[in-house]
Amino acid sequence: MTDSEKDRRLLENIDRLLAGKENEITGTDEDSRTVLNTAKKLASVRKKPSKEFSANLKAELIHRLAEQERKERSDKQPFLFWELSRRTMWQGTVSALIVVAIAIIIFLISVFLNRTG
Amino acid sequence: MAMKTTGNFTESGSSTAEVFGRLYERHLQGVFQYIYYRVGNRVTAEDLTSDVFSKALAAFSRYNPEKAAFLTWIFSIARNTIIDYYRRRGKEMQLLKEETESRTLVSPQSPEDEASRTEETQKLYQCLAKLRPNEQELISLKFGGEMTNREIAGITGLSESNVGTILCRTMRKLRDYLEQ
Repeated sequence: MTDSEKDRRLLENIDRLLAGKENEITGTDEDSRTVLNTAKKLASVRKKPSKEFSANLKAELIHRLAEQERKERSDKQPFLFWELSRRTMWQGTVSALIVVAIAIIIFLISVFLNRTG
Repeated sequence: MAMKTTGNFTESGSSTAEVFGRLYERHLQGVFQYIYYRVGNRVTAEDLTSDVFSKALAAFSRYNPEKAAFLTWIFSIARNTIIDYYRRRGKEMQLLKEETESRTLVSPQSPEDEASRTEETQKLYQCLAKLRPNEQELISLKFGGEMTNREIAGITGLSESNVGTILCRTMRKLRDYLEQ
């Protein structure tokens, strides 16, 4: 068997090992067997993320995604004049304008009445 | 059938949160394990995994599955995050190697790490740290990311056969270090 064939077989066996198909490992010489033992040791030190970490990170990401989408939606909203009154930031301004307009009308009426009367 | 789109990523009848949630479930373990191999302790691995998925979420609308598989995309983010991490801390791989030779790969920060490391595991991490950065990278992608050589080639830019050659050489090197 050539070196490259040996390497190819070794790589296939490592893939089998990682896939949990250890019983399907075939045709190993002394060199490959010792390398596969090293691979087993390497595979055995794998650490999975804790369930708590996985759940917390997912919740955080989903929350952030919802915020991101909400912001994108509000940025994309077209400007509609009649919707101004619905926007909180405009409510104070609109109220002030209405009060000023009423005051001007009352002032103009009183000026008109004074002149005619 | 309702089609919802996330940037260029489209799945039928799913919201962006559902799509991202599914991809998160599918790739979290691989990304975490890969990072764990690279940094050697749980706390840092968790922090960096959070960074990776946060970056992925922020850029998700620009992700184009026609250009790269999600696996390739997320692991590219993970690789860059680790590079930034070592750059930020001024810890190049050489320094990591020196630290390891004196004690362990990276000083474990959690009691769980400390307790779970047997003498044999300690030695394995020490031997891993003796490898060149590109060799550590391939081992981490193979054993942590549980990837095929083709997938590793897609991430590293190496050819598939080159990945295989380097992996075989690195595994033999690691075996020899362990036997010393």
